[in-house]
Amino acid sequence: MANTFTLIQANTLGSSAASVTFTSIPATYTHLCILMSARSTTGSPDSEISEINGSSANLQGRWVWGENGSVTNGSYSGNVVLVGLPKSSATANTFGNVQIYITNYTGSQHKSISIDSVSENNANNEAYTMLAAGLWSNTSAITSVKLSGNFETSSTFHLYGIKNS
Amino acid sequence: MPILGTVASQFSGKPFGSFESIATVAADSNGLSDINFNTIPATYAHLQLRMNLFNSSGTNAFVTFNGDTTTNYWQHGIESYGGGSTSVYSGGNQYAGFVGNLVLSNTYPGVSILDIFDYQNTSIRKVIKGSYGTNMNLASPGYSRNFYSDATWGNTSAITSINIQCQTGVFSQYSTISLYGIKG
Repeated sequence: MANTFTLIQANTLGSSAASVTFTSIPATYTHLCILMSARSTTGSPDSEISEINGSSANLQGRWVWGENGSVTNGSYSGNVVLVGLPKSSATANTFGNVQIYITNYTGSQHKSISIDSVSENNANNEAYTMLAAGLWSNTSAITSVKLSGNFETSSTFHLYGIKNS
Repeated sequence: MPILGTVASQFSGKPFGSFESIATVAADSNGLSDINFNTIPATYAHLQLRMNLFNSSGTNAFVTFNGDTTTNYWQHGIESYGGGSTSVYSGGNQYAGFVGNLVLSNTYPGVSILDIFDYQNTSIRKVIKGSYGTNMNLASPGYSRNFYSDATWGNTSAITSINIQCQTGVFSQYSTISLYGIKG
């Protein structure tokens, strides 16, 4: 297998944190992929891409959300909602899995972001399934990504670079 | 129950990136009722399964970990099927994680990608994030469908083996399941 999928940065939380930021992202790849296993420390399940290149401007997203027998959809501006992470009331040790895919992050076009995430509760309710399309309407190369939420200890964050050759 | 699959340690060391093939299992003309990946190395951060499945019975596929076939699994998801209907499903206390409602044929495969993050982390219950789709090439798309789903295994143990079961019949010839490891 070609050496096209490479770990750039990793972060495992030894204590809870309000945010995780990947900085100094090299421009040597074609696409970026973030894999995240996380849980919320509060009663709010929301976490998000809150900043790109140090700014929350020009971020927006649209999502479809499955939960407890219903499907809803919606949109946000000012951030890209990632996922309903398991809340502090969720079954102990249940975490959510999230993948964020950013194509052509160094290109001169606006940057689209594909997000898919699941959040389990190891029970019948309060389990979320979400797909989202995000946009950073900026033509600059992406050099940093900030994820905000209330991330529990043992949450992990991995940033990978993907080459097209 | 056939014991199949190979592990990364059996391959010579080539300069891989962070995404490595661990093993691939392919069904021959006899088919396979289930597929096992045993002795999964502990050297990765995440696992990914990629499946291309055929079945003549129109059935489901399930995943179990570490030989646990007790009622220790829950699953939820979004589904689109037939002429455009959508639904949400959930179920739990089952003996295995639900991979997908595999309305398959021996002609048109169902395709699935399953992610298992932090499979070595003994502080978390293991979650499967999966997507699945099949198209039966019918004028009436009643049996075509796609899922976006999750399943959880209510256990914090590190995953050392994965079993994928065919509920009815066998995974037919040309079915393949590949296991990948993603380094952290």
